[in-house]
Amino acid sequence: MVLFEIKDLSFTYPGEKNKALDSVSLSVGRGDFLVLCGPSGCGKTTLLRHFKPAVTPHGERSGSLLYKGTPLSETAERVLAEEIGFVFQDPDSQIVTDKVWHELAFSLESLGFENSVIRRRVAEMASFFGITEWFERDVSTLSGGQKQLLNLASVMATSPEVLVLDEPTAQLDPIAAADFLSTLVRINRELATTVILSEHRLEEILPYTDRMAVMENGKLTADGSPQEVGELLKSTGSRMYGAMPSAMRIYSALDLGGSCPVSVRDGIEYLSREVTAGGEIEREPFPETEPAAELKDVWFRYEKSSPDILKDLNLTVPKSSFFAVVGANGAGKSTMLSLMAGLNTPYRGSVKLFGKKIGKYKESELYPKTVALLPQNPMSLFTSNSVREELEAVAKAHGVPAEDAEKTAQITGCGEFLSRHPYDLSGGERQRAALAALIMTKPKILLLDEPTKGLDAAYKKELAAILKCLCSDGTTVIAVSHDIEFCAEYADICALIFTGSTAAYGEAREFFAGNSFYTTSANRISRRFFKNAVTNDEVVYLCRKQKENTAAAR
Amino acid sequence: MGRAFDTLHPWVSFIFFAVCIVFSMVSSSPVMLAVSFASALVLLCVLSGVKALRYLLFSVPAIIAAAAVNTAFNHEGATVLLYINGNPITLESVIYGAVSGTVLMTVIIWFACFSRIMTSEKIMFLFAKVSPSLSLLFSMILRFVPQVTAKARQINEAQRLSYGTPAGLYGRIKRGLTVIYALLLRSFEDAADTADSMKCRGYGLPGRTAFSRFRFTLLDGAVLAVMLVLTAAAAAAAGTGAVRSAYFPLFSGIKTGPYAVITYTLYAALLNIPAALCLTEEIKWSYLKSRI
Amino acid sequence: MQETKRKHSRGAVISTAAAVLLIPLTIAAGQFFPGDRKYYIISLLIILYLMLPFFAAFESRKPQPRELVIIAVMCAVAIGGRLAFFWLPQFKPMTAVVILSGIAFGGQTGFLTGAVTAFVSNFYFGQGPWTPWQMFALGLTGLISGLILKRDYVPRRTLAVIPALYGAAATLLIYGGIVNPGSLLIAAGKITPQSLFAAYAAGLPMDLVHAAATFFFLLIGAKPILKILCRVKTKYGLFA
Repeated sequence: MVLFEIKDLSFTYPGEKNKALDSVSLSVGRGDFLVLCGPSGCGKTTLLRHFKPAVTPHGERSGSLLYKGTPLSETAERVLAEEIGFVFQDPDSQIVTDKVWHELAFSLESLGFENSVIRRRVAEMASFFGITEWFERDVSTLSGGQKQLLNLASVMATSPEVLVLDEPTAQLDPIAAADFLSTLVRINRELATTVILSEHRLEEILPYTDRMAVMENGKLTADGSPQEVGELLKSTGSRMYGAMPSAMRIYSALDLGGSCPVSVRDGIEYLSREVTAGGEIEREPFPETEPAAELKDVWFRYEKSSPDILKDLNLTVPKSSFFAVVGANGAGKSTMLSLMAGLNTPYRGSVKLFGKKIGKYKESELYPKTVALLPQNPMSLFTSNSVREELEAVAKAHGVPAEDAEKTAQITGCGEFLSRHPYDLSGGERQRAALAALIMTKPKILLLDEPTKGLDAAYKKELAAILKCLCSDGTTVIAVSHDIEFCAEYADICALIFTGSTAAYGEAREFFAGNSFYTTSANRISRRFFKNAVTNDEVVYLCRKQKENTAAAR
Repeated sequence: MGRAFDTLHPWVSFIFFAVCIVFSMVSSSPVMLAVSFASALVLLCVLSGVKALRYLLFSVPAIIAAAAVNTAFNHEGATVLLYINGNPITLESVIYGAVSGTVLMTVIIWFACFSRIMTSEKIMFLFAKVSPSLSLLFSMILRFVPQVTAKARQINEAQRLSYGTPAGLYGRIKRGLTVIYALLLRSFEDAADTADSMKCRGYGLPGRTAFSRFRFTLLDGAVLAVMLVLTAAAAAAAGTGAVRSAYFPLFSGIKTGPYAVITYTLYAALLNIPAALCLTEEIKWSYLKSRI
Repeated sequence: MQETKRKHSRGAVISTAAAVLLIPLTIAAGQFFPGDRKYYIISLLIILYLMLPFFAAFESRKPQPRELVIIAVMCAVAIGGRLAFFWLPQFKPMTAVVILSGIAFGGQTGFLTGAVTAFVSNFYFGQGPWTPWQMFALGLTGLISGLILKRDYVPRRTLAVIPALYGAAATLLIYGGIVNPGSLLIAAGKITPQSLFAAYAAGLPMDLVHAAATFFFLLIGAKPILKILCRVKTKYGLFA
């Protein structure tokens, strides 16, 4: 049975020239699991919001949108509220009430159910989603992953026909994201709820879906099974390939034909058909430089009676390196960053920047010329009505010469949106604007807290280019991240923090090559064949080399 | 130990506190007041342990201060103790002041008990039937406050890293305003999502109900009945004037007639219902435990 | 729009009428009770009657999600905003935020923001016999700010003297003028001119700090913050 039938849907935001949706046609059947992907700003969110009239944007629209055969705009509000569930990206802001149980009951209250019915449904939801443990808690005590699970559960409380989710895992760490996605798969398999999901984490979700659609510039450019879409994208040479799972990217780059692998398992099978074991990447070691930041035997806890967050942490960050710190949630990564920024002081051990204890610096020497910190949410930095005003304020406060300010805007590519309000920017643009404000004063050390959170593949690449540019100018970049693929691809040196101390440390790619679980997909796909390939490019390089060698030998 | 009281229906608890506080405020009898003070302290000990006794420590200076202040401004009363600057200091006014101070402390201790039992969830439940929108608004504010404080902390940190610690009064006020400004911007931005999420989940459809996890049980009924009967009886007994004390011009002293004693007893019984409930449950527990 | 307006005025009219009737009745009935303590109860009831119409109006206009979140954000910032001034522990922006809410969103919303802020903040700082007085005082501050300063009022100059002066006066006269007699009633049971004077004098140092904080906050902050609130109004399409 067809649930949604979209025909030639076009949409333009008021005051915009370009269409946000350009004659999109799509049909979604009952029980489908549809993954919608595409770069930021391609119109995914706009399309998803068309499935739920309560959040459909205003603007010029043409084409038709049917739900169960009747136009969506003519469907009764009550039916819409009950049958179409919508989950937003930010786990925090979509929660309305202060208690978990109340949040679960919210939709049911709106629909006017009796107390006894709500009691039963809420109990069912709590049991199905495994949230009985924290059922009575205040929402503010939950982790991001728990919050998003709560949002999913409270939308599921009305047993909707369709779940529409707009990048629900963008703000979560990998473990929480995997948890969330597997719950979603379970809902689809066990309850036959239709799922329409936009997602950047294709690696995790594509193996479980039967259908994916790709959007670019407001147009639907591909629609089919992941294999079909992979093959199609390869033949059209789409830019979207950068966002696909490793197996698909390796398949596409090698261009040897055959059916397109999707999961790591498929990828291993594919490679075993194409190559034999043997091969190694030779890398140049990172040049020896003096240490920019040193943490020696550092112990830290927030309060005297609270547990230690950092325990005997030792870390040396070489100057002008891109240094990545990875590790699970709660391992102490962000705390370590706050120590390096001088926001907190260890109760034992020392933190030195360029050989001088951080406590010996005057505050005016430290900020912002020595260290700068990009917070997880760059919006914490903005206090002006436009990006230009913000940058001017920073330049004025710290006496930055005009040419430096201009150069900064150029490096970060802020030029195109200088006159816009920080809140009207996309996630990637906000981060670039924040970076511009931070690096204008030329800090010697730039600290980044989860810089790739919520960003798409294309923007991650741009961010890496900016960071590399800073490093080559002598800035030391220290990033705390969950994003293994990003760290493996771009960082020079990597450290793994585990329960407050350093568990492993090394040059980034050797580091990941040495791990067996905590490593990139490309490494997991290729580790049976090649000794130390970590990125897709390396795998492709070694495959090609082997092919060439065998061809030459023949 | 307060579980037995905490699990009562919110209306029952609320009525209990309303009765206690109104009685404590209107009754003029020192004995009634002493009973109320002691009962409130006992209940607070039951609810939060012996550390509640520190209220006794606060009470002494508060009562002395109230007596002193009242003496300074109130020169009524017949028994003059001494003159200060030509103003008479009377015994009645000292007594009246001390009684006022005790009323204040009693009410404060009752409110301390109130805060322990009447959680925001229960208060929202009380409002939910009468004013559902207001009740939801409370819940949303309690949801937003921790978010706002977390954001304020992040913004403060970011500002400090960019511009250092502010110096001087003007600098500090200015910094605070910058933080409030950024805080409002961010909060309103996120709140748009909250509003959308409410709309998505059908808020605004006619016939909204209010879910509550409270059920009016047999025990609630029994406690409420006993409470109402005792309240009516105590009020009627007090209404006869048997316990009424006058302070001016002459302090009439403490009433000890038979009606007065009955009133005191009824009153003490009424105010100690929750404490009795908790103790009964405690005894039951230790009995059950001893049989294992 | 017209429809809802009529409806909400009806809710307000009924409860206003009720208040007008109940106030003299309560005062009259109060005379039959002996003792001085009755004044607290009588004044408490009067305060509740006076607040009722505002809550009734709010309830009967069935506030939309966007209106609810705006009020919730203003209240939460009024309560949690102290943290922005952790360098200045005595500096409480609560009154200033309530006044700005009244100016930007009108007197009714101002009242609601004030009263609800006072109530909910006492979940954190402790409910007490003073709660209704604080609710009424802060609510009235917000109401009057909305009545005397136009909704679209954004100070022309960088210095916003008018809201700042209003803020200082409101803190001393309205807030202090209600909360001080309130605490006197709680503590002493009855009011005489001398004791009232003493209560004001005792409260004055705190009130002055509070008034100065409100004054400076509004002097520097009124303009930029009102700008945000205007932006919010257009963005949310509310209070037009």
